[in-house]
Amino acid sequence: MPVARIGRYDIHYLEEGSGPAVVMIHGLAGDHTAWLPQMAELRDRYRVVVFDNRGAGRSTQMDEAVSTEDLAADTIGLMEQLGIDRAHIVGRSMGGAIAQHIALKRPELVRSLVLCASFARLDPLGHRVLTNMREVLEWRHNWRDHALHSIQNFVGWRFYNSEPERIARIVDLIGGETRLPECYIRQNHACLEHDTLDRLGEISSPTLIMGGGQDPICSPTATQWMAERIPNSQTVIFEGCSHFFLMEDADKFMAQLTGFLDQQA
Amino acid sequence: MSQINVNGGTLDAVEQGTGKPLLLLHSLLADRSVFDRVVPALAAGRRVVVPDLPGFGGSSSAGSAIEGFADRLAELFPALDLGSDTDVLGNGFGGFVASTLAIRHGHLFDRLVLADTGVEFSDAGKAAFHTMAGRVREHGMEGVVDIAMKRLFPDTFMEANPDVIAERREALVKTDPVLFAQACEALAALDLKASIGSIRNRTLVLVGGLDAATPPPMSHELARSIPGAELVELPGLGHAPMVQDPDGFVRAISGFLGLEAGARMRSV
Repeated sequence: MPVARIGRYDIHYLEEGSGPAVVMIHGLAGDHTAWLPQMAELRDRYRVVVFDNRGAGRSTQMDEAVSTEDLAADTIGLMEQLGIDRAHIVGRSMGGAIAQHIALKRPELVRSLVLCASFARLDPLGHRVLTNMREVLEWRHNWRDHALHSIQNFVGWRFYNSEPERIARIVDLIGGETRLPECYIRQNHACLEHDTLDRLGEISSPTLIMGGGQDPICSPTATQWMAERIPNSQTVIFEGCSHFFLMEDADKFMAQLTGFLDQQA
Repeated sequence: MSQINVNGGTLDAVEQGTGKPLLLLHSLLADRSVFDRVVPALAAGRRVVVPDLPGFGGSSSAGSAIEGFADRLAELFPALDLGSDTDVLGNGFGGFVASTLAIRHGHLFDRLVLADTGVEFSDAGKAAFHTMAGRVREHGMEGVVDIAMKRLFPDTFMEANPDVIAERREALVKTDPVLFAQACEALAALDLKASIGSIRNRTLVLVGGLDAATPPPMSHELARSIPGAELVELPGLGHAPMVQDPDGFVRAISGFLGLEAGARMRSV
């Protein structure tokens, strides 16, 4: 995987396809692999860049305080190094929070904004749920217990109850994390502190907001807060799906995403 | 036609759109079609539910007390799975029903819009309803359509829009005279003074500056009586702003009901 040096960090990334640039930012848990299905679909007409945030995947891991603004600076640094001066910025969960900072700090870099299962400020339930997941990791200090206690926050009841094998695979994926727990903990705090809510009116780029109707981390409350404030936005709620609606209803998600991106041409 | 059986009777209601429900209650001198010009815009972001009030169109009678009308409408909430995020908008008589619904069943819904209504009628106002009830019993609906149009619309609008007036007359004559008279009696008898102050739903009071049926002072009194209520006067409009100025009407309620954001949201 190619590596870009952004400040003190080695950021591992992948770049595929040609056409208008699409930069995809993953969330608190996981890494660039969260976006591989979407990258495979988009690369025939877009130049797609996915990467591991600092403190995730193979990128530099350091136990230090971090904010979503810091992570936005990393993304901007990566774009500059790759010579991307304008891109569709797609962020999932904390990645969407990061994307909001990019839109606020460097609006000229943003062709359009896609916020998936994301937030400008966590609502009370999201705050609680995110804290619960961090506390399991802090108390048990292993990824497997954290995984077992987290997954019901990621998928809806239908998926959880009817897809035991896929659930087991997700447990293994998260449970087998090699990432420094401290980095997760620091970034969890970054999410709790993230608050761009009162500045959303400044975001003028065309924006697609997507949320899961049953998501307890980024609930319809948090989604509504963004929908009301981002002027040039459309909002799509995936009924019956939760935080992982990209996976629970993959075809529908892909259709919404590509529909929106193609519209921006 | 969408007839729904509820406790004690049937309600005929139509729906358009998806999202947070918005219940529209028409006035005495109209039926649910009075909202036709605004439903498309509202339905862009809301699940718009428009019933015929009891005694009108396909909805069965709920007697001649305003409480009966409100209690019957309350039945619609479980029947149509309307959650507590529903907003209710009532015009004229529909406004009195909406207020009574808020007084007796306010926990069922969120925000309240009262367009061209009030707390109670003056003695002259009450007498006018008795007169209308009498005329309807003697001459049928034809006996009141002319007065009705004058109550609904300013003269200048009537002169300039004969086709709209014809449409409204046609809708009104279809109303059952016996049940119309019941609604008149309900309006003559009502007095919400004692309980109007108990409304806890966030409320917007709207009134047309030229409303001849429920003049602005009635809305001023209403806004003063409901804790925290907002008041907006719409210049040049009469008792049926949703007919006279559909775009203006939607604009007037848009901020309060969060229609803008709603129109930019959809479920898949």
